[in-house]
Amino acid sequence: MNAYWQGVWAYVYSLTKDPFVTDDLTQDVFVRAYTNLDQFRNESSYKTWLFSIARNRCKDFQKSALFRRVVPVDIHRTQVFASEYMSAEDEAVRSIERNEWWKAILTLKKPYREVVILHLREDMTFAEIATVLGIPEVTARVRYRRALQQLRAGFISEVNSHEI
Amino acid sequence: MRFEEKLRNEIKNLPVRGLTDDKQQAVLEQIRKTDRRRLSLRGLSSVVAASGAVVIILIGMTIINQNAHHRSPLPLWTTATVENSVLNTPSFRNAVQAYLETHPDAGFSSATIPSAGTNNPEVTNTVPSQHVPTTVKDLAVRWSQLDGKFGYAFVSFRRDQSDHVATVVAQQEPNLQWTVLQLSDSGPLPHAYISKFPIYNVEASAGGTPSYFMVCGIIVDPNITRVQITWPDGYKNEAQVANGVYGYVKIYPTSVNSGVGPKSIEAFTADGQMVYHQ
Repeated sequence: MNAYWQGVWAYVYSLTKDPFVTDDLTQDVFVRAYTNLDQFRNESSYKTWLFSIARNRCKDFQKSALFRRVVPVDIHRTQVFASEYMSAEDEAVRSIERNEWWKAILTLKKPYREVVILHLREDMTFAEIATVLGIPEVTARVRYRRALQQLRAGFISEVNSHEI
Repeated sequence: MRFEEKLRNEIKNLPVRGLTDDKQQAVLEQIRKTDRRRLSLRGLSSVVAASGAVVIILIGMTIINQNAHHRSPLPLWTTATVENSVLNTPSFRNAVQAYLETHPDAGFSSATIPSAGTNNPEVTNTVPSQHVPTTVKDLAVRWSQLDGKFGYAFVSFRRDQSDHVATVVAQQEPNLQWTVLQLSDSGPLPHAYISKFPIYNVEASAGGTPSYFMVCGIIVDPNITRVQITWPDGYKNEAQVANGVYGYVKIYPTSVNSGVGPKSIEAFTADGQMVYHQ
């Protein structure tokens, strides 16, 4: 759990964009991994299997009513109004939400940002990414290239705007 | 330095939330619960295994009791009895239970309710994951209201190891049995997130017959006794607060667009202090 917690957290966050939800889902991923350990057949590495669970868990959650209809409203409106509910832990969350590189990654479409996180943060090969995402390896490569192009374009645009 | 290498360095150093002792304990606690269930089943096959399961159950219960407030932060799940709910009847509960068990994916996507996600390509592009039929337990009709032959309800239940809530619209047949027309399952509730707020809102609406807008929610702060809903036309309604939840349904004529939600939702304590405004 120690070895993979932060990696799974970062991956889940890249999909949900919400740190509080990510906390819950990450916990759930590890519980599910343990309870389904007998289904792990060594056809993939433990790491890719774990990230596959994380991805499926996020998909289930994103289909839920609370995610679609309620959570975005509550996040924005409640944070503005109810500052008394902010704790030191929430301050740590703010630092994540303010991070410029996270912001840049989260502007990408989901298929792109998950490939970027898995390849650059988790050092997964494209074959491993293809296993996690259930897509052909070549698709994973194409998504990565496009993600890189978009991030580079955004980065150059940012530099130019500062120079001006 | 190439851009890709710079990006790799930055991404490897992205701030993330680490594994704290609390979180580790929460995961281990849930795993222990699972262990307990598994062991209790296996325990039926031998006396020795049964003895082991009992020991683990006792240890697990001790730990769970010690951490009960972390595990179930919502008063909703500790409410022992459900009162003042007109549709809390066996026939209505049976209809909802049967619907839930035959529709394991009864979220907003499978109902006729327009979903806010329909304009979001990230949601609509997701590939449905596999679902295994599961049993539904502890179904409780927390809030409900009758309007002619139509019944509106906010229910709670457990599926697998997760807590859920759902809005339900049902129609009573001439034989007095209920038929569920629309049911929107919240999916597994993220307790840690929800517990950050005094109340947690769920909304559902549909046009046609019936045409309605339901505003329901979980009362997280037990001091809340009153919830007021203000609509865009300035009209205000008091939602019924009971059984750990609140609920209100605005019913429209069939020809009127019911997709307009409330302008604001406010929650008050018994002494009139507003503790939530959305």
